[in-house]
Amino acid sequence: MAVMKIGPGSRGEGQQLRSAGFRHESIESRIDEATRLLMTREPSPEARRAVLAAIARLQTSAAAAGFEVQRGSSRLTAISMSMAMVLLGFVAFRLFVPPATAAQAYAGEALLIQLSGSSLAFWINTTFVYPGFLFIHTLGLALVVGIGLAVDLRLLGVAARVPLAALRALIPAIWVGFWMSVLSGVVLFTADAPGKGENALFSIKLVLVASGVIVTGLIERHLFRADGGMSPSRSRTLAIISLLLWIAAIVAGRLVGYAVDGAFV
Amino acid sequence: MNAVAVWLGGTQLSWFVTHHPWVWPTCEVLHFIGMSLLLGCIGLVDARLLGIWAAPPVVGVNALIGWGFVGFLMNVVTGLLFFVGDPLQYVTNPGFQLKMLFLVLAGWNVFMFYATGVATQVESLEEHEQAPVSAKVIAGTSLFLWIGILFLGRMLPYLRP
Repeated sequence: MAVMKIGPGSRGEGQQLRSAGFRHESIESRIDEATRLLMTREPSPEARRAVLAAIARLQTSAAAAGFEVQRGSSRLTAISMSMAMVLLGFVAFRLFVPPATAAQAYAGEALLIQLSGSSLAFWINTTFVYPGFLFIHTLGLALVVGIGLAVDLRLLGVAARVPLAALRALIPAIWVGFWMSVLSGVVLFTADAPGKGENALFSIKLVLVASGVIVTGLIERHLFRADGGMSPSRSRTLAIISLLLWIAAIVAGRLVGYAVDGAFV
Repeated sequence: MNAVAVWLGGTQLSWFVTHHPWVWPTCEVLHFIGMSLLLGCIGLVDARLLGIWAAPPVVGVNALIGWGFVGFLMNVVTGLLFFVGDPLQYVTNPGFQLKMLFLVLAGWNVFMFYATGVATQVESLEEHEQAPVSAKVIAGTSLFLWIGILFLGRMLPYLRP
């Protein structure tokens, strides 16, 4: 780093750190404090050297601590976002590609009935398998919505002393819950395919869950970019949308059981 | 206990819950949202104390306890409405009895967290600092009990005698 001036020019060090693409809330305040100290006092040469060395250490240790986007975690995000697209595609297909003839409609329905009439479905429905996977499904959704709501609350200002970087570790837990729900959902669907496949509310639930997953992926992508953070207003908007989507998904999920008579062919 | 259940079933509130078709589904939805809030927020506090999620300072995470309590209150209210709506199906259900026992134990666990001073002990923990063993025991018990309550709640229809 170049020679440091005392006074307004010392703002340069703070600027250098920021332009190096270094955004992290608790460290921001420490940068501000250090800059302020340097601007108001005249440090001895040793102190100045110590501060510059500490700033250099901060950069390298932060990089080592993984404040940049880690590839492994974003792979899980990418896979989960793809699954969300698959769910959306399934609903879009049902919505925009309706059966052309009555025979096709009956064939589609017959497929669902066949699936739930299979010996696999019989085994699921008559043993502990269905309640067991129902529990896993509920635990998965509690993980997704529970942690999702907590992250959204933090983005809206609740528990403000939790550093944003700490939320980083929570996103993979959301994906774990999501996949628990998807895989157990397949088992539950097999057990009662006509009741779900013909159900408008089930399709609505899939759309809402997929949208929630996409918004969560957006939150992660924007919050934890290496080159800087999201604007506060955009993070608030995403948090509110996410919150509403998860609550709506729970509403739709609970009402699926009440809407069995509604057909969505 | 059965006599109380029978009396409750005859009240106006019980009639209200069972005779308006929108009441039960609405309660179910709110019960699930409350459950998510409760398990999410309290689960995160437990994860922090256990060291699974070590990143934030404990005092920051504690603000989530309030929201977890909001979820708990939502579930108490909707749970009471369920119970008053059809007391006999719950009173005779061993799964429900076990769920209520777990609830009492969870409440006792929370009481111990504050009464033994562990709560004030962990408040000063900084980022990445591990909590003492007493806090981890309380957090682990809390996680086990609340997930157990979720499990028993889902199993209620299957455990009816």
